[in-house]
Amino acid sequence: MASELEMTRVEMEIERSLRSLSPAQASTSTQSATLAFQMGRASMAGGVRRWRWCSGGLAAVVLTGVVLRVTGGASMGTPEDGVRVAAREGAGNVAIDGTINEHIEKTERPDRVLAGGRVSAFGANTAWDDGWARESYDGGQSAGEEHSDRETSQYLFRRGRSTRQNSFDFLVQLIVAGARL
Amino acid sequence: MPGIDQSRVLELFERDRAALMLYARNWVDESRASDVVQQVFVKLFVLAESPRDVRAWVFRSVRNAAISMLREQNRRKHRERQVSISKSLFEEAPAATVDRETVAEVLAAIGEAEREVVILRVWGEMTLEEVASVTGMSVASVHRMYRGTLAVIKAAMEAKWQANWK
Repeated sequence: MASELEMTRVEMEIERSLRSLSPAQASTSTQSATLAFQMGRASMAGGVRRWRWCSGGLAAVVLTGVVLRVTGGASMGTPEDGVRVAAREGAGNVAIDGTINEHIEKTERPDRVLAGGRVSAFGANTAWDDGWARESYDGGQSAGEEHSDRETSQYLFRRGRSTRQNSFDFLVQLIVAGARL
Repeated sequence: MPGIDQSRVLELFERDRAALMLYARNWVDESRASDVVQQVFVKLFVLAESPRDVRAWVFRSVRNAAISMLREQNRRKHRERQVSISKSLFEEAPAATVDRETVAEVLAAIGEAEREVVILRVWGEMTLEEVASVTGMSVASVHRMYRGTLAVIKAAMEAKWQANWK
């Protein structure tokens, strides 16, 4: 089109220079946006009753009898917010992407924590950003030893797939499980 | 009614997520920009009918959501916003022909509308018509603003280079 052509060589050169920069791929945002993508897909398959968004990138999805709450990473709000929301929403259980373990113990309804402890991050970046999680992500050698939820972490490592993929599988399983309740 | 093509959405997400984050940060900080992008993609999934131009819809939705979020948080200080805009906008790129910090500084210094047009055009890889569609401006206005902003960016970068060489 004409307007696209009405640029000088200098302007095109500036444009090209700017394009040589890539926008930052913020790890937490990418994870949570990816996660939202997966959650959206799951919601299309049925089972999700409604969504509940919390501050700082926390997301809670209310299923049939189960509230699943996820975070994009430790930098995005406090995990306990999500659990409180879940409890208020009348959750049967709460599954946690617990990047900060101690928050779980401070929740109002710790009895409702389905996957207590560090289920680990929904995405490799968060795990690697977190020293504690990194220790548990050394190829699986120490997996489960420091987790209060060994079963979950062992499940993830047994699958032998990428952290992110495992996390999605895990998430989808929870959603499916919630839908069946 | 045709639903959303999931593979198309995934492709769009993979392609544009970084640009969408950058775009949303025109109004809100990084964590809120993340919220905005999440919300838009979830919304896209539950739409009853696929938008005619999905990509334009996504950018426009990110814009609207980010502006709404900004209005809700009008207590935030202008200074904080500027910091957010200038902080870590771009990846480290050894092959880049411009310095990322310089570009971030220049983007922070120009007006919001000018920055929006540049982000959509350069990193959103949109035509001027598409930029006009997303922003609600006329193509002529977008064109004029874009060229004017490129000139400002050029001058700012040259000034920076000269300062560095002294």
